[in-house]
Amino acid sequence: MENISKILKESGINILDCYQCGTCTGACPPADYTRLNVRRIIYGAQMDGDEVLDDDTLWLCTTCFMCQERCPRDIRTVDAILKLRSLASQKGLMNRKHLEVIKSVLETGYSIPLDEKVQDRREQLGLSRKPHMEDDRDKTLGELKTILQSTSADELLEKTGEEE
Amino acid sequence: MKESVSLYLGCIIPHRYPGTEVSARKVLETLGTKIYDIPSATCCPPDGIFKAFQEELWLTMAARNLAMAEKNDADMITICNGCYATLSDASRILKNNADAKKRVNEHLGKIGLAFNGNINVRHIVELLYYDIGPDRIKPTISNPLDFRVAVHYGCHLLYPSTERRNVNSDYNPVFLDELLTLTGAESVDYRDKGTCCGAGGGARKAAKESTLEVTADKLSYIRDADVDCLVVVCPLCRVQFDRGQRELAKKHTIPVVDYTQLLALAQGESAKDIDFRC
Repeated sequence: MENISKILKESGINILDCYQCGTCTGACPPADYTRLNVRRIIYGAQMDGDEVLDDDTLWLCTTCFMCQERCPRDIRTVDAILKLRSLASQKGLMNRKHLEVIKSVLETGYSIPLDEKVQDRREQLGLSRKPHMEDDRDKTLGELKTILQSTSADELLEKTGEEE
Repeated sequence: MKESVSLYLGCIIPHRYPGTEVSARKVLETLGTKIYDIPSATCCPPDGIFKAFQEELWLTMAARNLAMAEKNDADMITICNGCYATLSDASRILKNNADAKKRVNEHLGKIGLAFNGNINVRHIVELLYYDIGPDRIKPTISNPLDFRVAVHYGCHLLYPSTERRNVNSDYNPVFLDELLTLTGAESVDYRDKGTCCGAGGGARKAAKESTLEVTADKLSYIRDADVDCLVVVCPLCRVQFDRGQRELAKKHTIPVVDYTQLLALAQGESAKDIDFRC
């Protein structure tokens, strides 16, 4: 991928402002427990090499914003990580578990299933068995499909799926 | 004061914690707020997974939910920090960026919808504190609670502070503690109160084991504070603390409840009707 720093700048994320102070890594809760190192990710993106897109620690960020809140250079570090994830997705490097969530949402409308047991519980509590889409499930799922095609995300999804 | 709202449920509360859907509805009704549903709403969808895949898909799916809420002509209320982040961010982007709005409306036009930008997105605790206000909540309390409680705000209610202008999102927010105090309960301070639950951004999905290490420490500090329960305002934080306790130690010692359940209980609802277990 060419010019990662330029692509980020077009989204209002100025990683070339980073002077590698490491405040982001110091503020990061997962950094105490995992290999996630935001300073190193930003450095990798500054180098414009593809290595940063292969970095599986991109997917460990909890988007808590502690790094972005504290950055003395006002760099949108969390937005940078999300953008790097999307560039990784374009290379077919999306996290497999994230892909599962996307497929579930597009196939059912929701990120987690609604099982019979919860539907029974809902009824006992005086709620409708299904919270949404009681009558127009096919219409709603058809609309999601139209959005998927219209945004060309279907092609990206196909590409990502092929890398299995 | 908002007399009517569009209630956006999201995925986790209606599919995992239906008692909290009940408490959210009861609390609003007790305060005289009319609730409109959004019958064909889908997943918000989460930015850590969808925006991180393709921003245009994320923005258009969020805009579809917003466009349907606009039909009710009432502000959209979320009961989840993740839904709040996606829907309020998407709403702000579409209101401020004419190009993005034009592109998204071209996509939405194909399904007969349009984003107009005539409603706002609020988290239910934001509505309770800033719009309805403590003075109107106080007289509705009929069953003051005698609990010691640990409050967890969750990240996306407060940050990024550059965007969360509506809430008091400095490093030591107090509005949720004040809302808690209205129920009679005591908000007990604890170490690392402001720290993330560990689950957000798709991290629980991508790497559950490592997210639980953040959670384990936070839970131990809450245990040290000797509280009756942990109060959250986000069902993903709740899953992480709730299921996380079993995943970590096969035992569950700290009850995790939603703020609206505690408020409904203090307003006289029965624990059974709102699935309140503490």
